[in-house]
Order: sequence, then C-alpha cells, then structure tokens
Amino acid sequence: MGYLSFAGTILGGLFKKPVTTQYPLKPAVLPEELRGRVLIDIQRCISCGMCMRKCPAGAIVVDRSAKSWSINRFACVQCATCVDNCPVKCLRMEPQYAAPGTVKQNETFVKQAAAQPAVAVTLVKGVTPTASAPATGTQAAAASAATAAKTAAAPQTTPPGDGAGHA
Amino acid sequence: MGKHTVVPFGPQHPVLPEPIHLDLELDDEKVVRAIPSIGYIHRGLEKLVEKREFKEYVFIAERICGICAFGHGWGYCKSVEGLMNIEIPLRAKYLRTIWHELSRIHSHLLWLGLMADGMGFESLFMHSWRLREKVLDIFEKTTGGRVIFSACKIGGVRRDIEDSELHGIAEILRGMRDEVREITDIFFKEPTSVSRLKDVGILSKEAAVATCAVGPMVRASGIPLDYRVADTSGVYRELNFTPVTTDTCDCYGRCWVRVQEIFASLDMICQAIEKIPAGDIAVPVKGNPNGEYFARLEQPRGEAFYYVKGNNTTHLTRFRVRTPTNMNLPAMVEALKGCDYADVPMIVLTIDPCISCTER
Amino acid sequence: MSSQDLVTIKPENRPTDLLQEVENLKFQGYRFVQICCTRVPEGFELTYSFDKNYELKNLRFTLADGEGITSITSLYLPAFVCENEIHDLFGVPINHIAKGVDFGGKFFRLAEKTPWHDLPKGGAH
Repeated sequence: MGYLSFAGTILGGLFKKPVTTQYPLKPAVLPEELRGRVLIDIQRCISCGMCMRKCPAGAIVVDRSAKSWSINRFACVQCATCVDNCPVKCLRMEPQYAAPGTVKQNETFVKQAAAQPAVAVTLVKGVTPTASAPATGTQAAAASAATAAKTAAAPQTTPPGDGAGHA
Repeated sequence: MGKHTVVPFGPQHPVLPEPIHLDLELDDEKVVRAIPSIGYIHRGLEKLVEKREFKEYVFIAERICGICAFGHGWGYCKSVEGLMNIEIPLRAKYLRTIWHELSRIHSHLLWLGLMADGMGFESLFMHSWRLREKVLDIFEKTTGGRVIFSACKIGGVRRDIEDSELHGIAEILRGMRDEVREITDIFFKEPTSVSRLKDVGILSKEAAVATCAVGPMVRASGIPLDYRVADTSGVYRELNFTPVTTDTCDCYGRCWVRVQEIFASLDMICQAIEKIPAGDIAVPVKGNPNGEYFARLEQPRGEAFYYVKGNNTTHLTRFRVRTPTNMNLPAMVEALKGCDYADVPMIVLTIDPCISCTER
Repeated sequence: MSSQDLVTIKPENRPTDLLQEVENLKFQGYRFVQICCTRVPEGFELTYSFDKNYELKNLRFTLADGEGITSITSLYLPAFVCENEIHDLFGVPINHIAKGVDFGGKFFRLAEKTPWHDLPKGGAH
C-alpha cells in the first residue's frame, strides 16, 4: 500500500538511537589542537608586555608594577600570537572555549610573590660561602623573596644592575 | 506595456548569505533592470593596515571573509613575501595549497547548500552541509579553528601536519567522493532542481568578456580563465590541474562547474599528500617591507587581486583587495536583465556572492 | 606570479592620455582587473590594472587633491564598481561615469562621507 511504505521508517525512528551528536547532554569532543582560549602560568610570567604589544585585537593588558596580566576574553580572537611570542612560554591555548557571559569584563591574573623555602647553608670552617653563578632574570626579579641565607651574602653575590636585566 | 514596479531586494533576504541591496525594476513579472547598492558590511579593514604591524595584520586580513578566510590570509602573506623577496620552503607551499583546496571544497559545498536552500530544497541543503562538516573537522584538527585558521604567516605556515595525519586526511577525502557524488547528482537529475537551474540567468560568452567576470561565472560561459594555471606560489604546476569549463552559460552550467571543481580539488589534495616533501615550514622574516607589489590568487569565487605598498616601516601604507565578487557584480546585474522575478534569488546566488569580501 | 609591469602616465597628459592608453589595451584584448587609490602627500595615486594571459599591465598616475579624472566606463563598463567606491570613500571626482551606473555618491552606504579622504595619521594602535 502506498501510504504504509513509510511505516517501517517511522517505527524504526521511534526505537533507534539518534544519529546526531547529543550535545550538550554529552560533552563535546574537542581536538586538542583547537584554539579555544588563552591560559597563563602566571608564576612564570616576567611582565615583559610582549603579548600586549603583539595582540592584534588589543585584548591583553600587562601591568608591570602590579605584576598582573589581564585579558578581555570577548575581544580575544584566539589567534595564538601571544602564545607564539612569549619569551618564557608561559602562555598556552586550551581547547575549551571561553564561557559566555552577560557582561564584558577582563579576567586578571596577579603574580604572587613566591615564598622561597629557607636553604640552610652550613659554614665549613675556613671556607666562605661563594656566590653561585649570577642569578637569571626571573630569580633576580624575585630577589625580594630571597632566602635568609642568601640575603646574608646578597650584597656581594648579586652583580649590580642584574635586577634590571629585564627592562 | 505592463505595470512598472520597483521592488527592493535585500539587504535582509532568506537566500542571501550576506547583505546586499538591489532595486529591481519590474515590468509585470520580468526584471528590466537591477540597481545594486552595497556598504552594509563595510568595516574599513583596508584602512586598519596603517594601525597594525605588518606581521600582525595577517590575522585581520583573514577575517575579511569567513568563507574565503584562508585565501585572504594566503593572498596577504603572498603579496608581502613578494614585496620583501622572501622564498618560502617547499613544504609550506604544499601545506598552503592543501589547505586552500580544502577551503575550496568547503566553500563549494556551502554554496551548494545555499543553492538548495534558495530552491526550497531544505533536506539537500542539510546534507550538503553535513558533508562539509567532515572538511571542517579536518580544519579543526590541523589548524585549530573551523572557519578562521590563522595558519598562514609571513614566511610560511604556523603549524605543520604530520605525515600520518596527512594520510588519514587522504583516506577521509577518498571516502567523501562517493557521498559528494550522491548529493550532487540530485542537483543534476532531479527534475524540479533542473527546471530551476536550466536556462536561468544566461550570460553569453560575449557578455562574460564584456563584464570582465571571473571564476566559475565565466568558466560556465566557455572561457577557461583560472589563475591557478599561472600561480607559482602554490604547487599547482606539479599537480594535474586543468580549468573546468562548460558552455551552457546558465545557472546549471555554473553549478556543474563548481561540482566538478570539488572533485578536481579532492584529487589534487590526494596528489599533493603523495608528493609533499619533508622540510621546514617557515623562514625567519627580517627587515621591513619597502616598495609595492601586486599578487593574485584563485579563490573559490574567482580571481582575487592583492596590492601592498610599504615605506620601510613596520606598518604598510596601503593594502588593497579586489575580490572576485567585486568583478562579478556587473555580471550579475547583466544576467538579471530580462529574467523572471522568481528567478532573481537563483541568479543572485549563482555568482556566489561574498559581500563581506567586496566591502571589507 | 604577476609581472610587475607598471606604466606611469606623465602628469601633463591626462585625462585624454588615460583614455588613449585604456583604449589601446581594450583593442589588444586586455581584461579589466581593478583600480586602486592610495592617499599620498601629493594627492591621490591611482593605479589601473589590466590582464591578458595572466600578465598584468598597470597604469599609474597621481592626482592633486580636488582634481578630477575621466571615467573609463565608456570602454570598460564593470569599472563602475571600483570608480564609485573610490568616489565614495576617497572623494576623488570621477567625471562622465556611464549613464545607469553613476550612483552619485550613494553606491557605498557610509555613516561619514569620504572617510578615507584625509592623509592617514601614522602610529600603532
């Protein structure tokens, strides 16, 4: 019969699983190369401002004195220029897209002054503690949190001007 | 003499992917003249080149259009590389060609879907776009973005595709061939579809030359104009490429040309994947652009023209894009003369209008 | 790669010289490609591009601010898109655009008239 020829499909459609992906009931499968949003490992950031200068959308604001890094996720176009240009590679792209919102606001990360564990330096009789190799820029920047043992030797070991190595 | 009316078409219309305004002068049901008017989506992107460094501007250039995004990114990089005399590695050329041909496939499948939607054939529209999803998934895996790839940079490409992944892509594309044939056969064999496409929007060979049309619009009128024949920045010389032409001069012919180009691109990508050499994907770029350069590229819609001018600073002074739809607008206005009012959506869609490219 | 063939038209010989050159190109079978306008300190630099067998030929000249130029729509009708755009964005007067394609400044809908007329102010964002 003509109008019963579709009955098989209708009955099948009632009982078979859907062929479409069941998003958002099931989470989306995102490939790891997807450029979703920018994340920062703020403790490694040196506040050079390179990402701020290179961003084509002007979405990043770096405040060197406050050691903060903030991004306007609604202005960001996920081009990953900041990720490519960061000299210490503390930025990365994550597949998860930024969450939608009702207000456009910046997301700010502030670098915490790291409390370095106290390093016990045993004084061997007759040997003065010699300086280790001149501190790298990041360590010099965190020199304010230098250990008690190191601060004792700091005036001799820290070469002058090293703290301003990363202008 | 029939009744003379003027009907505004657009900027909002269900068949239009992007806003364009046409004033249609009708004589009863026949279109006498069409007067276009653009500017709804003008963003002044050419002016923005003065405010962004030339290395950052590539991200703005590729956002001129969502459908031909990779083409604009490549065109910009190509023109600056020509200006600064940068020779990019061969692997980067192959990767750019592969991505551009994939972009052509996705653009033509999108257009087929829009054509079906313009006819009212919703399920065919959805099937075309379902096939397009496979290509978009390839883009997502290889470049990190479905629509805007950010894959090109001055000096090469930003990301590499591993050989194992390339072979996986070739497998997917070979499997797609039969599915694409199944969908596209409907356009050419289904009687309602054929009656809406055949003998609609005739653009004779002389008219095509006089209106300086480009792309599938002119290839369906029998003129083998395809810049890939002369393009040395891609690897088309090493792939088996001939322009696809037909001489029906109507919408059916243009549909046929685009479908054959999908199959041709599928073949070319598989060939490129066989031949791609190992090597670097980018070279470092030193110095500032100085001078001027003209470059061209065959985008899915036709030949796009790029012009850059630099004055030895980090900012270019001028970047000009002349997109294919810019040249096809007069051809569309010509094809609309004398057609039926009900055929107007088909003819407007047949040039594959990308108005956001036209207005930048 | 396109050939960078640039023919500069001497300032004392336009606009008739432009039409003469374009007419020669038309009868040699060249296809019109585009017109580009750049704002330079001397005024406006116009570049006309034509193509034959994938080889570009470009005509270039500079107009002073306020000086007009004759349209080539009498020879190449599709040039009206570029010419109307240049007129609307840069404010360069283009005379004798063919009847039917002269939009009188209304081709490009803009909030501000001739936004690109002035010299660009340099600097980064």
